[in-house]
Amino acid sequence: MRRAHEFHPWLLGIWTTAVMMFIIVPLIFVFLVSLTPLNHISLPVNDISAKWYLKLMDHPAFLHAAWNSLWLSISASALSCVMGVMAAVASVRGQFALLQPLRLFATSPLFIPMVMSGLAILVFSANTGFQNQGLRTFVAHTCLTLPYVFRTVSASLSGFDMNQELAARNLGASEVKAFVLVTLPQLGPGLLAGGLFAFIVSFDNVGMSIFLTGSKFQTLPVELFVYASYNSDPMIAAASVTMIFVSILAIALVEKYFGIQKLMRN
Amino acid sequence: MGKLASYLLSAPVFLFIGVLFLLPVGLLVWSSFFHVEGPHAGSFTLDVYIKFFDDPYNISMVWRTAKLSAITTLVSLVLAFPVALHLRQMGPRMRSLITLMLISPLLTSVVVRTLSWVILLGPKGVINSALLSLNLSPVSLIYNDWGVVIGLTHVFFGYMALSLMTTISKIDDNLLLAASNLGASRWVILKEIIIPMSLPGILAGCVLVFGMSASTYATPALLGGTSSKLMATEIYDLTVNYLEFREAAAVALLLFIGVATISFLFNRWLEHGRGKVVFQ
Repeated sequence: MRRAHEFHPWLLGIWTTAVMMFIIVPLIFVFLVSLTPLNHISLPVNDISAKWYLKLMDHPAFLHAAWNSLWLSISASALSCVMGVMAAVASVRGQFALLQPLRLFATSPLFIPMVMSGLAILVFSANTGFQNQGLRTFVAHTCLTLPYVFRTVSASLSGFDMNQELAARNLGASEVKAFVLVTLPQLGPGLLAGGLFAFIVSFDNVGMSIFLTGSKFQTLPVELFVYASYNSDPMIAAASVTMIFVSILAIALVEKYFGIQKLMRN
Repeated sequence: MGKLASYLLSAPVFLFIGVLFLLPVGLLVWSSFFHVEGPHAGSFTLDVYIKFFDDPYNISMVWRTAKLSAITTLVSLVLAFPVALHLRQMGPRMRSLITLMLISPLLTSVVVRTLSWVILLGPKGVINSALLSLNLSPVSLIYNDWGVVIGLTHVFFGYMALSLMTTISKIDDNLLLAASNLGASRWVILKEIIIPMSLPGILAGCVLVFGMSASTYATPALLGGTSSKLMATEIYDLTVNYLEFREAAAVALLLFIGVATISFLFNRWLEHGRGKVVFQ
């Protein structure tokens, strides 16, 4: 029975259901359209076909872009993890004059609109003559993903019981050894979650990439964006479903080892 | 941990972010205030800003950016508030399931979620091809301001839901129980307890959604059509199509200042307004 201070559960239920439909139904339609055997955007009425996925695999631009995106996201989030863990350790454990500046630097990419930072890195790369499209996109993605790793790892570290490390040091381990053998393994879930989050953020990024990529280096979401700006066929749906699949994989891993809600609240 | 170790551990972030991120951003801002070439190279000027504000088209673009972002924020708030209320009344398993379903879309590509609306409502989309096959004339559903608002709401709604859930689920049940025992109706409880206590979450969500809506590029570029521009799409056009880096930098700085000012005002209002509401 409903308690006196609660609100009509069925009214709220209808509202929640409607909102969830608004969020999820368009994505279901994308999935359905990707299975159409016809040559235009349509629902697969009579039968389904994998035709548009096969076409996608035959489309060299998408394949290249997917490969680029994969390596870009892996390498950018890997570098973010290394720098993020180092900075988080300094920020949580260290006592030095640059504590506040460090936190500001490590999170600053979150506060500047992506159109602005993408443009800034583009102009910087043009002015310094450093025009490698892959490398400058990598730099941008490393900056973009660093705050997420820094925050998750800082949160995990600040909840860590220092006595464990003290015990290791009493038993003769050096400070570095104690950290690597005792603390680092326990940071695992937080670091993994931060790293996966960084991977997703990088893998899906358009706002910065669109300024920095080009004919020599293209990422999957930008390629999809450009393709969809000029074409309207079910291949868009097939490419979208492929990208959703990569995200779902990453989400499932985060949910299993860390919890999405915990991650997003950081 | 020693001082030296702290400096060594933080050096990579200072160098990388400092040289490759903050320096470029700083130089970009600087470049918008100085002549870069010509006889006056190096001297201070506000020429791009004066040119920007002289053009009524740009004023309407700024207004439009603010308007569409504000509508998106408001729609997200109205959609998310009852959901957050509902979540606090659910059992823990149901709650985490719904939460997962609401948050997960945040982790799928903005382009993909925007394109889902093109596929659904576009001129060659599912609805229009269904209309055509029924011999009805197609309708124009996106490529206008509503298309942008629908897309932006779909893309950023989850951040609002997350902010609201976090604060609303923290409200102590006993407080509401006490109020209802003292004869308060549900609407009084909502108005006098839940809304004031969830104000921090409401404002955080609004700042987040407004800021992201105003500065995102892909969604308005795909759903907004060609005639009506927003600041983010204008920055991209100025950069890539016209190679007007200084003008693009000026628009970017104005966008940043606008969003930062609104966050600042909201936070100020929260500190003063909330104090007034809760402790009156």
